[in-house]
This record gives sequence, C-alpha cells and structure tokens, in this order.
Amino acid sequence: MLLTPNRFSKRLRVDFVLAHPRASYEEKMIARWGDHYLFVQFINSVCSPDGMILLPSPDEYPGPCYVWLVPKFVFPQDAFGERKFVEPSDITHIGVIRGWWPQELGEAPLSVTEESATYGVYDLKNKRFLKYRMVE
Amino acid sequence: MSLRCLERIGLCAVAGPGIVTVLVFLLDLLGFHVSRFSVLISILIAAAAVWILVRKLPAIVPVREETHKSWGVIAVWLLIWIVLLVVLNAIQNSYWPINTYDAVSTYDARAKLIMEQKTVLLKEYQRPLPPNWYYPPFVPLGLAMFYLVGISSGKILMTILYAGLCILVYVNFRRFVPRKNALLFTLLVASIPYLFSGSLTATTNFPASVYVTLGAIYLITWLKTSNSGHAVVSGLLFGLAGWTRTDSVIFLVAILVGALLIKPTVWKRLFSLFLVGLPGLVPFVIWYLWLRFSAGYSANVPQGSWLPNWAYLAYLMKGMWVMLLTPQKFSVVAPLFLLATWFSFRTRDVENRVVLIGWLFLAGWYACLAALGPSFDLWKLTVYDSGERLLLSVVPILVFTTGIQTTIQRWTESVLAKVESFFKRTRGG
Repeated sequence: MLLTPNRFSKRLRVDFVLAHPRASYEEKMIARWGDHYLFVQFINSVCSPDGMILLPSPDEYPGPCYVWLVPKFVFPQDAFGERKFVEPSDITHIGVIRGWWPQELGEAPLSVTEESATYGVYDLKNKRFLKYRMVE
Repeated sequence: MSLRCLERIGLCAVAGPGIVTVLVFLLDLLGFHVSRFSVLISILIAAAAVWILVRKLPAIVPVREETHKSWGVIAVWLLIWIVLLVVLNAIQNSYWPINTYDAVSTYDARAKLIMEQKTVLLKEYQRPLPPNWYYPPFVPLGLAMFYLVGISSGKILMTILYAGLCILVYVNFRRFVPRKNALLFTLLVASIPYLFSGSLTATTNFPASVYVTLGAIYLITWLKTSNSGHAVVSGLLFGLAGWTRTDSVIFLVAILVGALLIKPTVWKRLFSLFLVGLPGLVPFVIWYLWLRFSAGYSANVPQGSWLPNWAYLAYLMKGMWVMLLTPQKFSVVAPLFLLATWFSFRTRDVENRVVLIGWLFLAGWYACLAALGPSFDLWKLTVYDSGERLLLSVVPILVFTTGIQTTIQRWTESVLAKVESFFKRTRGG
C-alpha cells in the first residue's frame, strides 16, 4: 500500500521540520508523499523524456487510494492519466498500479498480472515490465 | 512608521510582482527571453511605475488622530498576532517546497519549463493540455523568477502577497475606523483559516483573492474619499486579478455595479478613472489571443441545456452558506457580515450601503458557479471544491464591509475599550 498523504499530519510535519531543518527538496517531498513521490521518480527514471506514459485516471482506478495523484507528478512526460489528453498511438509506456491495465490494449501481459507485480511500468516497445519495489 | 509609508510598502509587495510578471511577459513577446536580465529590467520599470503611482495617492488621514502613546495593551497584542501569522507564513513557505498535487503538476511544472525553455510561450501548448495550463501565467512566471535568481522557495511570492494584503487592509481600515478596530479586523482577515492555508500553496486562488480584495477595497475607499488615485489603483489591481485568474472578472462586474448603486451620480468619472488602471487587463487579453491563434486554444463553453437546473441551483445556495458558516474554513466572517447587514438595514444610513458590495460579491460567486457548474460531470463536487476556492475572493470583502459598518464599528470599539480597561485594572491590582 502506498503511503497516503493523510498520514503526514500537522504534528508529524512539525516534528519533521524540527528534526530536519536542512532537509533537501528530495527529502521533503519523500516526507510529504512517501512512496508516491518515489514511484513517480521511478517512472521518470525508466521512461525516456519524450515518452508518453498512460496511467489510470481516478475513476478507472479500482482501489481507494491517492494513487490518482501520481500522474500529476509525472509531467512533463505527457502523462495525465486522462485518456482524452493522450493519443493512443503515442503511448510508449503503461503505468501499472495495482495491476491496472487499459482495456483497449486487450489482455494484460502475464508479467503484469503476477500477484507480486502490482506497481511498475510496462514498456510497450520492448514488451518489458519494470517492477517498482516498495520502500515503505 | 507613517501610514503613507506603510501603504507604499504594501503596494510594492502586492502590485510589484504582478507588474513585474506582466513586463517579463511583454518583453518575452518582443523577443527578450525570460532571463535574469529581463527580470531585472522589469523590476526597475515596475519600481518606477509603483513609485509614480504612490506619489499620486493622497496622504492618509486616519479617522482619528492617535499618537504612539495611545497604543495600549490590546493594540500591541493584536499587532503581535498579525506579525506572528506573517512570520509563520514565511517560515512555512521558505521551508516546504511546492508539494500540493495541482500546484506541482501545473504551476510549478510550468515554472520549471519556463526556466528550461526561457519563454512563457511553451512548446507544450502545441498539444491539448489540462485546463489550468491555460490560466494566465502570473503564478508560474512569478515562481520562475524566484528560481531564476537562485531562490528555491518560490512560495515566498505568496508570503510577500500575504504580508502586502495585511498591510493594505490595515491601512485602508485606518481611514474609516480607529486603530484597535483596524487591527482587530485585519487580524480577522489574516486569520481566516482557508485564506491562510491558501497562502501556503502555490495556486492561483490566493493571489487572485489578494488582488480582487484590494481592488474592491480601493474602490470602496474611492467611493468614500472621491480621490482619483484610489480608483486608478483599484483598476490596476483588478487588471492584475485578471492576469492571475480569469474568473476574477466576475468580481470586477460586481464592484462596478455596487459602485453605481451606491453612488449613481459618479459613473462617468468612475469609468474614466477606472480605465486608467485597467490596462493591467491588456496582457491578459494578449495571453488569450496568443493561446487562440498560436496554440489553437478555445475556451470551454459549458455544454448541455441552458435551462436552469433547479436541483443544482438549490444545492449551490445551500453549499454557499454551509461553507461560509463553517468556522474551520471561514472563521466567524459570515455571522458578523449578516449582523452588519441587519444593522445597515435598520439604520438606513447611506454610509452603510457599502455592505451591498459584499452581497454583490456573493451574487457574483453564485452566478459564476451557476453558469459553469452544470457543465462539470460531478457538480456536487464542484460546489465544495471550486466554490470553496472561489469564496476566497469574496470573504475578505465581507470582513471589510463589516468592519466599516458604523454600528459594528461602535460596538467593537466599546468592547475593546472594556477589555482594555479590564487589563489595566488587572495589571493595577
């Protein structure tokens, strides 16, 4: 389960500031968003800058989670998670979140549907699934 | 520090960033890419413009001359709280980077792309983008300017606007109410929970709220003083409000209607003066023309039937009052405003007609959401999300019109005097 932003309460925020007065941008973003931020960083690291990644939009995502925030972070890699902003032929990667797979592309590859492979990025060109390993 | 000096500082803090971003944008259009040089040139021109503007403003004549000796415990306490809020805001904004999802994905992302491409006219506009990428570039450009000069905490821009708002609200209150009242109502504005939390994010709602609020306050001041400088400043601030967020235009209509209803005889003079400041709206128009002709953008026209959706309108009305009467969001502003309206109605005093402007702002809010809301699939969500953020531009005006209402003013003064004497007795005993 990704760390949800709600768990970072005001009290925790004050504690964090006092404990890390000189924290870097990365450290602050990880403190704020936890695995959300790391997962986005992972997506950015495995996608090429001109790639286009399709992520589930809030209504398509099957679980009660803040994962819909993820595509918002991916910009400028053309991933808004909203299908109307993405030309299907331009899609280079699929963001796999809890096994989500776009219906238009048919059956999900076996590597994606494996029980352990819940979060990651599927490279459509190389037909390769890159799994994200949770930190928290 | 004199009130005149405070007003100059406040105007520099509020109008300064707006004018600088407008100039950087215009220079960018002329081929001078966004750089430290163009920012520096813009700051120098903006400083000269604000300097000339503040010289045109008359000296502030407080409603009651109060010496430094007359400060008293209450005034000092109120001032300490206001300063504490500004300091807290500065600490929060300088420590935490932009981290709310919409600010990261739109305004901060745009700011970083402006840094990369050295232009506001990003190549990303050649393909469809989410709606808030088309908002005028005040916030992204403001953030980019901080990044350009090596300041990583772009949100300090919001602290500058927040401090400017507090200063100018106080200065304008001093024209109509005694010092303690002015401080109390300024604290009420500064401590509106939703406004304070809005100033900790880098979105467009808070800056739009600052420009709309101060634009309206300067127009109310003009109605009371008839000094042309105030109408010009009001026009300029409303221009900058449009440069921040498109929906601010609805409040421009509300304030002009309010001014005409309160002083119907002055409409010719008002419009001619207002138009002097309104060129602030020109870059806003240029921006949309560029989007239209260069990026192929067309504004979202609400789809569906134009027949009134009664269920939605009723829900909207209920939602407005539910939000306004939630103290965790908008403090005690709405009950006080209702009280001020009641007193104004009872006294039938011409001076008190100014509460009408508060009602027109609420009507503007309602009209804006009534027109746009049903075009969204999830309109119930829209009321409590977009509506709440749009209320940021309304609520400070409710405080201002309440604070200068004569009965409220008298009551507040007597309550504060009693509290002051209680403190004195306790200290003496």
